[in-house]
Amino acid sequence: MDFQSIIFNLQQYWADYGCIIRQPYDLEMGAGTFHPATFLWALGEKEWKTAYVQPSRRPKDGRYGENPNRMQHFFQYQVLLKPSPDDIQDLYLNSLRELGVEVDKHDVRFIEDDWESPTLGAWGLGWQVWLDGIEISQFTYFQQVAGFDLNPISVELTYGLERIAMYIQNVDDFKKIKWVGNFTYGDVYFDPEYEHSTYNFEVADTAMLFNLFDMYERETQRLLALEQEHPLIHPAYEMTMKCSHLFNLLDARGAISVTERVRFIGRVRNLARKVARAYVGYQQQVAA
Amino acid sequence: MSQDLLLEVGTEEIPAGYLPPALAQLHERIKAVLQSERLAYADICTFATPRRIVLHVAKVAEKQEDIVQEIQGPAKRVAFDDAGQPTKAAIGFAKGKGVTVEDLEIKETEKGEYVTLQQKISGKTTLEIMTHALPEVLLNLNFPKTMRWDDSGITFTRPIRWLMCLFGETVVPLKLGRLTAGNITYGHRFMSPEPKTIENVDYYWAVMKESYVILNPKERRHRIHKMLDEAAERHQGKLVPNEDLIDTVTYLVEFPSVVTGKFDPKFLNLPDKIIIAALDEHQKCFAVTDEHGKLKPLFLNIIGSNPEYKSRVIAGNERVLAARLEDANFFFTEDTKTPLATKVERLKGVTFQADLGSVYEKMERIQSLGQTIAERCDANPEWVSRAALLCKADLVTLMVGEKEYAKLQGYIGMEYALKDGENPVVAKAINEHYMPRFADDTLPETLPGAIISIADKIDTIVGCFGVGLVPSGSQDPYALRRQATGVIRILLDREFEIRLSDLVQWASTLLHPKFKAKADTVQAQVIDFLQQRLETILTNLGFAYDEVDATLASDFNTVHDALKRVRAVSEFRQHPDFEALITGFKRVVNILKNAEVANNPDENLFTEESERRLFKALVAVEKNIGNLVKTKDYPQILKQLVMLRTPIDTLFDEVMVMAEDEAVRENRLRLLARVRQVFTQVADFSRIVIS
Repeated sequence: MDFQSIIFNLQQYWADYGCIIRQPYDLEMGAGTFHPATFLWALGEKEWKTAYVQPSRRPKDGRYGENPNRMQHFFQYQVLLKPSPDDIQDLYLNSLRELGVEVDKHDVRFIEDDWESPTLGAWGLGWQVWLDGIEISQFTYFQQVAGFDLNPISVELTYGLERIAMYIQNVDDFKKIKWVGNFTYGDVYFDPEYEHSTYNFEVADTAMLFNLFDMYERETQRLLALEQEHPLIHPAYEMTMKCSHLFNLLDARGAISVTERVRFIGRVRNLARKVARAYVGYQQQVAA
Repeated sequence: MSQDLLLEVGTEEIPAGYLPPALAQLHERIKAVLQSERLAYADICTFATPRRIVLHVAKVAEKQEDIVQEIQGPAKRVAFDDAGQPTKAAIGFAKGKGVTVEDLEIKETEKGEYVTLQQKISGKTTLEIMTHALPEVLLNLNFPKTMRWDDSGITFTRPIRWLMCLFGETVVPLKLGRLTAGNITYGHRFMSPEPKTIENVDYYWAVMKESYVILNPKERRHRIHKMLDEAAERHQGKLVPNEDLIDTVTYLVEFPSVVTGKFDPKFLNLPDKIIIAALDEHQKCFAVTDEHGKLKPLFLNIIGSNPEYKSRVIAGNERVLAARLEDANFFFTEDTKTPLATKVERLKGVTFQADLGSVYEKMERIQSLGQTIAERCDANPEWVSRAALLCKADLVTLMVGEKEYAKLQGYIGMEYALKDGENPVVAKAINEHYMPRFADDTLPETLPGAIISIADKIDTIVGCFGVGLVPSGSQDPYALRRQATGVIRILLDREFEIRLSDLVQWASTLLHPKFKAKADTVQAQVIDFLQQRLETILTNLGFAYDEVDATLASDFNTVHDALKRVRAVSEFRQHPDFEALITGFKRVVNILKNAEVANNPDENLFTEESERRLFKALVAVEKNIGNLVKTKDYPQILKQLVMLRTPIDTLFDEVMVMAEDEAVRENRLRLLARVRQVFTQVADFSRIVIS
């Protein structure tokens, strides 16, 4: 099964289940969890089922396209179900069957992995899912987002699309993943991987990045401080996501010391918390 | 009549490490319930797999025994009128209890005659009791982390998906969140997923067996061990023992089987422990050696899936492992392009602790302190200096920077040093300076390793105390207690003639510019802390608290000497004259309590025979033990002291120490002060508790 068919199959499977298929968010982010469809929509009481592909960036993980398993840009397939269904493990396993993985003939394991995002102030309990020793998904029952206790509880499934494709296609390097026809993943993404790795590690202008961080941080604060009936929550959240990515770039560039690191994470978390608070407040106001 | 109680809690995968303590708790709490509910039973068993927690109580009584409860009512004079007729009070009381006045009795109590009722309470059924007690017990099990998963409000460590509970053949209809227990269970997730109706306990055991679930963790562990050993043998090898990992995998699978995978032999040029870490830390696989203890390019993995389809499982595992080893190989190649010694400079950029500066500064202090210690124990100063220089250098290597290899710090430094052609003793000392890494860990074998270990640890302890990072209660983020224990264990092991107070003093001299408190205050605090650790170590060795207390009160500074003395004191306690001697000694100490006297009595001032006798005996003992003190032969010294028993007792029996004549009195006190002195060379025996 080629790379794009894996995505098609997952889209169809979760659409059939009743998910609204959202599209990737058009900003840089470290994981599908940052997408407002997860970060914001996990808050509040409304039922919500969604699935989408999210291109994800982790500048520090770049290896110039050389490492067979590590890239600074990759794809997650993200599913968020609120409330979490009782048969969620079976739903997940069936989605693997949909990809042609005969789970009954493989070693599928749910290995304890409690997820935490310090920048989002979010945590949950769950597992990494191993398929014959390979970690292919993250499975989390969210307990808190931005410091808010969640009710109802959402369950988040995150598929590592490249890992799954490598497994299904039996190739040992992400560059060899068959995208479609004669196109490989390497054809599409090797050059960007190399260039971004070079930029992230060697070329990025740290003074500019620090400056941008401050600007976006100020903008988030300014937007949230505006006194108006309909607060500008989504624009404010975009500024927060920008800050998060800028922090990741600075971190990859080695521009942030260990002590400063904690402080920067705290700054992003503080913004995320304020956005979430504004969102929850507005939802309650609308409902009332 | 009795029946078996069976409970199965079906869950999503519970973390391996959570299960053994949960089973022990479940056992205890059920036992408590059965006792408090007065239910007789034969036996309690608990089992678990990642997907189920099972409780079996054999032969539980079907109901509580009926009991008769005495209820006191109103006083007789209120309940019956003068004619002996019941009043409203009596009638009301009887009515309230659902009986008639005829059922009431009169009983004599301390406060007079009262109406009482012997009420028979029929025992509740076990079914009823368990329906309410089991949910309570389950929800109160302690797990390191708990979660919510639905809107029922209940929390557990992972979602509960089914409940099966039978008493004999009857369903116990207990409720937990949105679930009600029934008689349905499920087998292995993939090999036997369909629902199965359970009729009774024996049937349940049989069904589980057929459904690819080995319920008993002991049995799974035993099988896993056997499988691993046999698989290693099939490949002419031996399993590298890893009991902790076996414990973990026991709780990762319901139906274990073993697979053997290979890795490229080119990776065998990596140090063994790195390969093993790549195998077990993340992939939870086991390593195999040949008959000479050399690693084979093989791994064993315990899987929980259908053993018929092993080949794809192996291929997947091999691929992940190859990627991991490739990573490790990359780190190793990069790291060893330059010698370890060239990395030392980069320690200037690594913070040891915000107020205590960089690791480079720490290394310099270790070097200096190491030299001072080395001079006192005939160590090769160059080796110590070199090992100190290199001991922290692996912190800036790529390998130690990677999370899964971080715990190999020290070991990686050693391997790189060997590769650089450093002296093997120096290389070994790099690894050993972290020892002991945990409570029962081995101690450094090399002398430089022992010295640097002490220097590193005492530097951390004194430094942390100096900047106010003092352990309190359960808070000990820099593991200072463990480090202090390490220092003392090494000093005991090596019998170094080094005083704790000197060590603290030397470290303080190097560190004091960074202190936030006065150096002598810090030193006093640390010495006190070390003495407490020594006290704990000695009591943990089995010495009674008062023996340790008495010994350390005399002197604690040279720890191996303290150990010899406490051992002698403890053995001496068995001596038939011990109690009498100590009682006598306590009298000596008591009478001297407020007296400030020298210890040189004047023989001419003795007025009584018993004074002279004691003095003579004392002089003889002092002479006898002169040499014994030098050789630290404390058992013999203590035997000598016994000779003072009778003279001391006789003195107190026959003489009034506090004589009217000041000179005589002073002289007697001087005699006793000298007696006290000869005893306290070993211990302050007045602290020994005598029944």
